[in-house]
Amino acid sequence: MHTAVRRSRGLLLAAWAGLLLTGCFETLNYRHIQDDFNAAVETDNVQSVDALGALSGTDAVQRYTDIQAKLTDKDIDGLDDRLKPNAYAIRAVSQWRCGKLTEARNSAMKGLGLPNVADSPRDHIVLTMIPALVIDQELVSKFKAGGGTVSEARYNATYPSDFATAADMLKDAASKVQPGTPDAIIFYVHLQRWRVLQNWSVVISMIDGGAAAGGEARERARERAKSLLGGRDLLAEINSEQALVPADHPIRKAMEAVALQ
Amino acid sequence: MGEVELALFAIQAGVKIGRKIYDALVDETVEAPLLLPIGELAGSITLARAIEFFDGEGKALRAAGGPYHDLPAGPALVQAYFTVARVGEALGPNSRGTSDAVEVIQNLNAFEQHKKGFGPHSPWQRILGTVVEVGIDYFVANPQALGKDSSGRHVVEAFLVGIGDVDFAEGEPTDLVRDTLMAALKALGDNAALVSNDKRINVLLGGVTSALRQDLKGLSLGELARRDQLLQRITASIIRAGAGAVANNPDLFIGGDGKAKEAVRSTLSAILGGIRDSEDLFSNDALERLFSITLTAVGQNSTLFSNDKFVQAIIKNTVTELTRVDARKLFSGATVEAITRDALETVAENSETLIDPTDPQHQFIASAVAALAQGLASDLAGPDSVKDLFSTTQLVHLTQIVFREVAKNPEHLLGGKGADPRRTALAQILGSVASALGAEPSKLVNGQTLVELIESTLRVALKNRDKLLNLASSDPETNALFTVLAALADAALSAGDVRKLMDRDVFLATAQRVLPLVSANLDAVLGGDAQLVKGAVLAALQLSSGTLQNRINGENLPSLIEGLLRSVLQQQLSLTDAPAVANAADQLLRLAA
Repeated sequence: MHTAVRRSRGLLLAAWAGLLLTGCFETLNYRHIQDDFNAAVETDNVQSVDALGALSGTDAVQRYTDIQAKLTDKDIDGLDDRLKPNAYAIRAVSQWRCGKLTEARNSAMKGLGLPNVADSPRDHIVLTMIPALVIDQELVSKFKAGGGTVSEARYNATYPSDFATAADMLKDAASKVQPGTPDAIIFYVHLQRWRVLQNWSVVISMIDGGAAAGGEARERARERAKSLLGGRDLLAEINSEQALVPADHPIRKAMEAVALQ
Repeated sequence: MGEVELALFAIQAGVKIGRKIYDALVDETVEAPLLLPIGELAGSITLARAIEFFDGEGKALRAAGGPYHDLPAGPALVQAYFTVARVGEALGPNSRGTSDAVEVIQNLNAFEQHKKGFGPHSPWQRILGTVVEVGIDYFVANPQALGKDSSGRHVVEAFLVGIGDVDFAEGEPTDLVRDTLMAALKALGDNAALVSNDKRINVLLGGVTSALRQDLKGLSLGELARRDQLLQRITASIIRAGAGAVANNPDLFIGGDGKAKEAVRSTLSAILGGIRDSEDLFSNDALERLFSITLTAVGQNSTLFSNDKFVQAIIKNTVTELTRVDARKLFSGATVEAITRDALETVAENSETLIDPTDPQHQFIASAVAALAQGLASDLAGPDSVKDLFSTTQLVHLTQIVFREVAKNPEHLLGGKGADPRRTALAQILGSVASALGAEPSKLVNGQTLVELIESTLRVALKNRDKLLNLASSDPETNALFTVLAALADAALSAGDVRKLMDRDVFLATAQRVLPLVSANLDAVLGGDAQLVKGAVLAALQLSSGTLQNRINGENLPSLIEGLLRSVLQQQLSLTDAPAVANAADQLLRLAA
C-alpha cells in the first residue's frame, strides 16, 4: 500500500515538473516575440524620422504582422497570466502600426480587462493609449487618402471632435500614473499627445490646400480647436507637451527630430 | 529516511526550484524593456507652422501684393518661414522677433512684387539667406548694434531694399552679396549720421552691388581671383565714400531713386573699368576720393557723366598716359592716383571746354598728361631732365596747374584731335623750359620755383604761342621761348654774378618779369639771338658788384633787369654805353625805392 501511494505521488511530481518545463519553453518563446517586436519598432521609428512614420512596404510591417500571427487569443491564453497584459499591449501596438485599427482597439480593451493589468504599469499605460492612437491613425489615414488636403466643411465634419477626443484620452492616460510607473512611459504619453496635436495642426494647415486664400477658414479651425482644448491654443498645447519632456531625454530628441519634417 | 523517501524529497525539491526558476523567468519577461513606436504624422510639421505663421502674424507677406504671394504650401513656404524667423533672430533680443522681421520684409515689396517664384530655390531667397547670415554674424559680433534704430539694422534694411532690383541669376554666387554687405556694415555700421537717410543708402548700396556684380561678369578665373582681392580691399572704402557723396549731393536724386542708383552703379563701374590692370597704383583712400569726386561730378553733370563709358575713358586714358614708358620716368606710382583724381575733377568742373559734345570720348586731359610726360621726361627736356627736381607733391601741383590751363584753352595748348603730343604747345613750352635750364638745372631752380616758372611761362607763351613756339618742329630749341629762357639762364649762371645774387627765387622773379616783356618785343630780341636779354642781365649783375653794389640786392635785381631791358628794347639805352647804363640803373632804382 505504502509503495503504491509513493509511486503515484512520484508520478504527480514528474507531471508537475513537465508542466513547468513547458511553461518555461513558452515563456522563452515569448521572449523571442518581444525581441521581434523591439526590432520592428526600431525599424518603424527610423521611418518616423525619415518619412513621417508611414510604414507601408517596409520591413517593419512584416515584423508586426508576424508578431500578430504569433499572438492569437489562444496563444495569449496559453501564456502565464503575468505576461498577458504585455502580450495584449504588443499585439495592440503591432495592429495599430499595421493599420488594423479596430483590431488594435479590441486588443487593448481585452488587455485592459485583465484583472492583473495594473500590475504592469507600463503595459497598462500603453493599452490605455491605444484607443486614442487608433483614432489619430484613422484621421491621418483619411486625411492622406484625401490627398493631404481638406475643405473646411469636410474638416469640420470629420476631424475636430475626433482629434479632441484622442487628445483628451491621452491626457487621461498621462494622469493615470501609479507609484511604479516609470518616467519614460509618461514621457511617451506626452510624445504621443504631442504628435496627435501636431497632426491636428497639420490637418488644419491644409484646409483649402494651405493656400493663402484659405487663411480665414484655417483661423476659424484653430479657434474651434482652442475651444475644444478648453481655451488653450493648439500650438501652445503642443509646446506645453514638448516642455513636459526633459530636454536631454531621448524622447525629447525624437520630438525635435520629427518636428523638423 | 529510506531510499524511496530520499528520491521523493529530491523530486519535491527539484519542483520547488523549478517553480522558482519559472517565476523568475516570467517576471523577467514581464519586466523586459520594450521599444515603442513614435507613430505617423499627417504631414510636415514645419509646413504646418509656416502656414499658421502666414495665416496670422505674417499674413501680409502672403497676401496679394506681398512678397510671398505666389508661394504654394510646400517647401518654398517653409523656407520663407525660416527666412522670416532668421531675420527676426538677426534683429536681436531687443526686437519684436518675427513681428519686426515681417515689417522688414514688407519693406522689400518694391522689388519683391517684381519677382515671381520668390522662394527657397529662387536666387532671391539665396541672397536673402546670405544677408541673414551676414547680419547674424554681425549682430553677434556687435551686440551694441542690435537696437531697433541702430546703424547696423539700418544698413541691413537699406541693403535689402537697395539690391531689390538687381537681377540676380539662378546659380549666381552669393559671395558678392556677402562681401558687399559686410563691407557696408564695416563702413557704415558704427556711423549713425551717415545712414540716417535710408533712402540714399539704399541707392548707394544697390548701385554699388550692381556695379561690383557687373565688374565680375565674364572674367577668367585668374582675373576673378585678382578682382576679388581688389574688391575685398576697396569695397568698404567705396561705400564710405559713396555714403558721403550721396548724402551731400541732392542733385544725384533729381530724376528719382532709380536714376540715382544707376548713377552710383555706372560711376563705380567706370572707376573699376578705368583702373583695370592698374589697381595696385590706387590706394583705398585714393579710390574713396575718386569715387566721391566722380559721384559729385555725376550729380552736377548728369548728362555727360551718366555715361559710364565716358567716365571710364577719362580714368582709363589718364592712367594709360601716366603709366606709359616715358611717363613713368616722370610720374611715380604715388602720383597716379592723385593726378587721375585731379583729371576727373578738372573735367567735371570744366566740362564745357574739355568735353566736345559731338565727341565726348576725346580726352584733352589725357592728352595733357601725355604732353606733360613728353615735355618734362623725354628727350625734349634735354639730356639732364628736370624731372628729378620735383617732389611728388610738386609734380601733382604742377599737373593741377597744367590741367587748369588746359581747361581754359585746351585747343591752344594741345592742338586738335590726334595731335602729336611732342608737337603740342604744352609739350613745347615744357620742353623749352626744361632744355633752357641747361645741364645743371638745380643751380637755377628747385622743384617749387620750377613749378612757378612753368606756370608763368605757360601763361605768357599761350598769349603769344604762334610767335614764341615753333610747332612745325618737335625740337624745343627751335622755339623763341627756348632762346629767351636759355639766354636768361646762361647769364644767370655766368661769372658776372660776383655777389651770387641770382639765386633760385631771383632767377624765377627775373624770368617772370622778362618773359612778358620779351613776348611783346620779339623782333628786337630775336634779331640778336636774345643777346639783349643776356646783356641786360649781365649789365645789372655787373652794376651789383660795382658802383651800385650798395643799392642792388636780390629783391630789386629782377625789376632792375626788366627796366634796363625795357629801355634797351625801346631804344632809349645801349648796353655798350656803360655810363648810360649806370645812369639808367640809378634812375630805375630810385623809382623802385
